Amino acid sequence: MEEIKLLGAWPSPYSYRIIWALKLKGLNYEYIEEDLSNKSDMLLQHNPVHKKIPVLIHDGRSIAESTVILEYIEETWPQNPLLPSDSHEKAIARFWMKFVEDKEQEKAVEEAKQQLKIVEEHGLGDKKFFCGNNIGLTDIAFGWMAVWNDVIEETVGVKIMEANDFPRLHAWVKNFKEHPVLKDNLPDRNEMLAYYMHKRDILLART
Amino acid sequence: MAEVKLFGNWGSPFSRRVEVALKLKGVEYEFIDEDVYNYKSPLLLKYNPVHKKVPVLVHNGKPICESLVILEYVDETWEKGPSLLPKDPYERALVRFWTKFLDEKCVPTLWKTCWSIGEEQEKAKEESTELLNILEGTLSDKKFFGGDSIGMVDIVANFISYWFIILQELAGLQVLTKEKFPKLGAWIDDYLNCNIIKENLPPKDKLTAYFRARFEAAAAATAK
Repeated sequence: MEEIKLLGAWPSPYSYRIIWALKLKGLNYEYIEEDLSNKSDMLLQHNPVHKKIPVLIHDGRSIAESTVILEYIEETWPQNPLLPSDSHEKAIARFWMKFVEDKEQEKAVEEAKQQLKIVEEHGLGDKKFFCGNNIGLTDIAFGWMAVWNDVIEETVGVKIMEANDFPRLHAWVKNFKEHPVLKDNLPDRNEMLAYYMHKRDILLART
Repeated sequence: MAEVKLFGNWGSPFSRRVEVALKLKGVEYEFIDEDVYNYKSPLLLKYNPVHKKVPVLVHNGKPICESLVILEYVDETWEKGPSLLPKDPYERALVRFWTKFLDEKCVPTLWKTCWSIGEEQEKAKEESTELLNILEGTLSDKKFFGGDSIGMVDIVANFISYWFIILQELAGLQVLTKEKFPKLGAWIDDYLNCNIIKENLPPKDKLTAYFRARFEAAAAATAK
């Protein structure tokens, strides 16, 4: 019987990407919470290059980097496909997965809004999810936008993704959160808010 | 009308990656050289509205952007010829891990090492050395990252083998030497000796002249 372990850390969006993929595939796994301030030998052994979570360990072999893990899950367990079968559509899905990885470096508000506009118009368009009617890896990669974004906005006190400016993204957020599998696997909003507020307070106390 | 078009740039390592992949697969394509720093053609802007960059592969009128995404597309679409990625999902995961490592960590850090000065450069040099050590360890006793023959990781590592060597010399640095990194040194020799690679590199004197001009412009800008 195959053994799947996930090394993660609450409330990391990268960790949740893997949880969502495993749940959508209907897979059983053991979740191991890592204390990132005191990294375990297991983590250091299984991700010696980056020493980061998430790490998937499947039958003793480890895979690191969330988008790499997502592709591995998709290829190893083909049920409930999370990528289109058409090569060109698959390439577009991967393009947007890469976009959101690069995008996370945006700090300035105006730049962030521009990037969101690009996603709204070119990435999502009129589709329900990034690749059509069914949820896929690209939606999972953008998951932070559905779940973390408004918590961060509230913590920081700056609203970037206004519903009026980004109606399609807001519709996508709603569809994401209401997805039958994902809705029971979202981090608790109040707990997240407390977590990020606390981090913000520590940061402010230092400056 | 050509079925496969590649919008690229003669000097770009990202563009050359795609050319190598297409040639390995024996795919005929039309190459459109974009002078990206000075002018972006309407077609490029149409096919890559998000990033406005090369390379862009256009297959039967449909564009694919981002070199790593293009390489996977090429591998899936043209099954004839050598595989760029292995078949086994775990082996594929390792390839994706290392190509991500190269693109997100190695290339930007090595690039920064050559273009920065003072303390910033010292820090970048240290980081570069750490990253190169990791690559040296990964190569281990293999001839190529892909094993006995080149694979996607080798193709993506092209910047290190050629562009960086030229840049570090122009910058007066010796970050990557055969003495410090014997395995990488041997890999560079073997890699550049592969016909498919050496026949698809930008001409050395042209690339050197291009980078030299940019160095001089940068120096002039900071001198003001």
